[in-house]
Amino acid sequence: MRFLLLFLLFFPVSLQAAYKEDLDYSAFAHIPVLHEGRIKPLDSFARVFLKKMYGDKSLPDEAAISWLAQAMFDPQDAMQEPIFVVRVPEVVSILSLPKRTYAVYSFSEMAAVMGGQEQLIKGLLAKDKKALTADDQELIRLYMNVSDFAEIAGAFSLLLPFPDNPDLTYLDTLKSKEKIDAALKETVKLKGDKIEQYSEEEQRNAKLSYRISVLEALDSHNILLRIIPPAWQGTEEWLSPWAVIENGAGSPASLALFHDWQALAKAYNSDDAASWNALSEKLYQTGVHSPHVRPFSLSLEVFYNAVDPLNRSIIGYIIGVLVTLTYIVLSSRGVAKEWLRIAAYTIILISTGMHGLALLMRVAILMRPPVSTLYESMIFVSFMSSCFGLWMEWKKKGGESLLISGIIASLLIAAANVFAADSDTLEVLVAVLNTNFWLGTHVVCITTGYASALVAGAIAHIYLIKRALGKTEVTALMDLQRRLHSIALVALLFTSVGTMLGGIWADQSWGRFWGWDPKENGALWIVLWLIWALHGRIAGQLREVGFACVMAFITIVVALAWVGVNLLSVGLHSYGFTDVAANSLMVFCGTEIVLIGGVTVMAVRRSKFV
Amino acid sequence: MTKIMTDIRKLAEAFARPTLLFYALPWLMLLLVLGTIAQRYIGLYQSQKIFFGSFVLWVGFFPLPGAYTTLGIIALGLCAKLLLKSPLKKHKAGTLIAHASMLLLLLGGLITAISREEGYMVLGDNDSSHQVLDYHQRELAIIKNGDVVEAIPHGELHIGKVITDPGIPFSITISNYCYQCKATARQNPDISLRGLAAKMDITSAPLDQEDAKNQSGVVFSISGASKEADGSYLSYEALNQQPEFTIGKDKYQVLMRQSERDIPFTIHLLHFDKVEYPGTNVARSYQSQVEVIDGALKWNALIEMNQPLRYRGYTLYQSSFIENDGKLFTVLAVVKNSGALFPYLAVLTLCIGLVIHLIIVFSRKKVL
Repeated sequence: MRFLLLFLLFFPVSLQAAYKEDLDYSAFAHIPVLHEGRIKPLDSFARVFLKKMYGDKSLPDEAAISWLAQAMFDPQDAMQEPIFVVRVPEVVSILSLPKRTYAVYSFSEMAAVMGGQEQLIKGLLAKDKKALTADDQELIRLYMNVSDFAEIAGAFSLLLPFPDNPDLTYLDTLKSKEKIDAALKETVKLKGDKIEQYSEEEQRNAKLSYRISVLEALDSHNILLRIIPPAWQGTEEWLSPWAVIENGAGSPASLALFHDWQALAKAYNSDDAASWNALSEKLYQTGVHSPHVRPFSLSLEVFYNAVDPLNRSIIGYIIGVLVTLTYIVLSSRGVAKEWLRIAAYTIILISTGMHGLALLMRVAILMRPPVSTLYESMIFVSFMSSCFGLWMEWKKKGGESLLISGIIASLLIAAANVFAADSDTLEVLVAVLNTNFWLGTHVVCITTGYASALVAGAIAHIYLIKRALGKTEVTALMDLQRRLHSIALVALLFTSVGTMLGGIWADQSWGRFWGWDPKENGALWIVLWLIWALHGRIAGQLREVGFACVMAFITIVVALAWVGVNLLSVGLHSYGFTDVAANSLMVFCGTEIVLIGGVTVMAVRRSKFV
Repeated sequence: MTKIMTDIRKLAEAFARPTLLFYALPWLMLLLVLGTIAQRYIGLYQSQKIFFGSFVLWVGFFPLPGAYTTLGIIALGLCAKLLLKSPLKKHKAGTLIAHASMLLLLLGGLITAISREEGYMVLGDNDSSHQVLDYHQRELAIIKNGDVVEAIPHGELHIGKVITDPGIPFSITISNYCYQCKATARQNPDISLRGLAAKMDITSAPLDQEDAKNQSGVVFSISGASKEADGSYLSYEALNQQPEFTIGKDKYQVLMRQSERDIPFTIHLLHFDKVEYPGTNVARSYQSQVEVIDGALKWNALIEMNQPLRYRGYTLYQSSFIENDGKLFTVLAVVKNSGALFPYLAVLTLCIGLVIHLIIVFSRKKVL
């Protein structure tokens, strides 16, 4: 119902959304805002919400930051913009939305149908999460997104002119609000509640009073856009414009800010580029000189968003893999082109460099070691895998290590994007994780172990395939075995030391070295698997093919220990993503079992012994 | 005698071979995977007891080696390897140190399993305590004028058990006991039933996945006390009202509760602080400002996440917090563990051992 009210409040609306393409958004994009416990630039805020609503960090013809500016300063036009993507087709029917090829709807369309679904949504929110169907989850997601948009669109409603009175804002009425209400009460007392019996002045007063009360009912609890810095020392709490009024936290500084934001809104709506630029810069300067704001970090984050180095490195990795494959195919036909290998090496090296730069930028933005969430572990493991591959290729030319580098790195970054889903990947940490020492030692060590184990698994795959095809010379196979053994030892070093460091961290935090938590068990499983394979090789129980087969399966062990245990949703470490993971993990494990099983059988048939 | 020695040596040599480890490890991994998956269905505590904390794993009536047995065999193998198959040669230095570190870790695990005491205390601002509540153990406590006369661990309680003690002028006979109970309405009350027992009974219920949520209960009869006090009583953890009776001038309580242990000093909570990230409910840090009181000695200390307080063999950790009616209570984990140092030594030696081994391996030609 409140969505509908918000929509009607800004009625009449223009039918075509008008973008302000000629405005410069660079200073505006840098303005700091407090969101999800972290001070971030408005650019990141815009991207996070657009990703949630639209599924992408930009619209086809508009950047996230200009969409946000429109939602903040020209909400009636922004409400016509189709940005809500319905991902489950059945929900289109449930909500009686018009059917479209690409199911994307505007706020005005969503508000019209969501108003009647509030009871249903409340019931769903009260339900146990495990009992929710895909339709239910999508309904909740859409409801949350529509609510968030309503908050963004209403964040500055106290500073924007009333639609039927362009010279007046809620802020202007603050001092006279009591008088307006008192006058209306007096009128009602004298003339009753029929507005047609009022004088023109009384009617204007009644409409204004109604407008104020509707605005307060809709937006006074609006806290999402925390853009007003703390006015006093000793607090880190930034407030939304409405919260400043509601909490009685106004000060001369906040009033000055209100006037600046008001002027910025005016400049936006009148296409006054000069004022817009000057005011954006002024507001940015005010924001960055507030306590706990690091200007370098804000600029770096805007740069990180714009460059998107991780997704760019995927392209490099894929090109590198294709060039390497061309080199390998030509080599197998006896027409080896060394320059192709060097080109592939260079491309993957540059991609790895960009990847590493992305990790460094994240460290500088968040001021903590590179790995602490599942997403971060994936992008770190992919980086380390690529480094291991490049190192091996440097030591022994042949192209296989470049394939390992490119394939593992690109697949893991893609998987990280899937797991990150709609959330901000630059996030604050819960109390127990908030320790740079253990994040920098245990977590980095164990994820390096995962990377080396995956690289060992990949070498084992190549060995088995070559053995199964039977076209590789014995010396080359022996060489691969030596590499496999060495990298398995590296994996054992990092996983075992990393696991034990994790135990010591647990001892420091929870008072026990080992608690049989699923994540701890998963890490131990990898260590035991590596010990088993290496001792099997030493004991003679595993010959070349057997050792390669066991090491190839380490990919499944790592996947289950790293991501799979989060699916159990138990234990102290169950902070990973779970919803998207199950199917992809099953597909991965199934494919690996068939592939490894198949090539091992073929390799055994070609061998006298295993 | 020589033959016996030869046989022992042969057996030890068999244990020293990596073949033993090759067959023991898959079993250990299977236990690990099954125990991990089982946590989803039976909870961590039960799963740990069955899969990771037992000598025998019973599959129906069929006994299989439990994790303790498997780890014991691996530890014996490690000992045999270090004694019989580990010549002190330069190129074996890394593996020798790494194997020794594993033995150190297993030894630490053994000492921890035998000696570890753990529990927690819940304190509000200005509360003091020298008692620690056990996470899992329950006990039937007999309290006389506020002092515990006897506490019988839940593992020793069974129907028909008779409890007598020189310190109490009556005997207690257990007529019903369950570790996880549910309350039922009593159908046929009689005059010997006292207090809540007159209205309700308890029956055994399926265990909860979280052991802390299991609620133990006991129905017992008192005899030999007095005409007024003799009769049947019920004590159930889920209820606030617990059996009480008076004999002469002495007031007695008999109740089921979480086991309590004394520690040799007192913790007085000066202030508990929970800091959240601004604009969220996400905790950034917890910390407890405490005063440690040990006889005449008093001093202030800070316990926070990842920064425990260590004193007299006890370690106090910032474990959690409880919010009740707007008031915050700190939850401090209290652990005494004689084997706590072993993992620290083990990780250091393992790291040294594996790095030396890798240097040896990589210094050979054509490794990569």
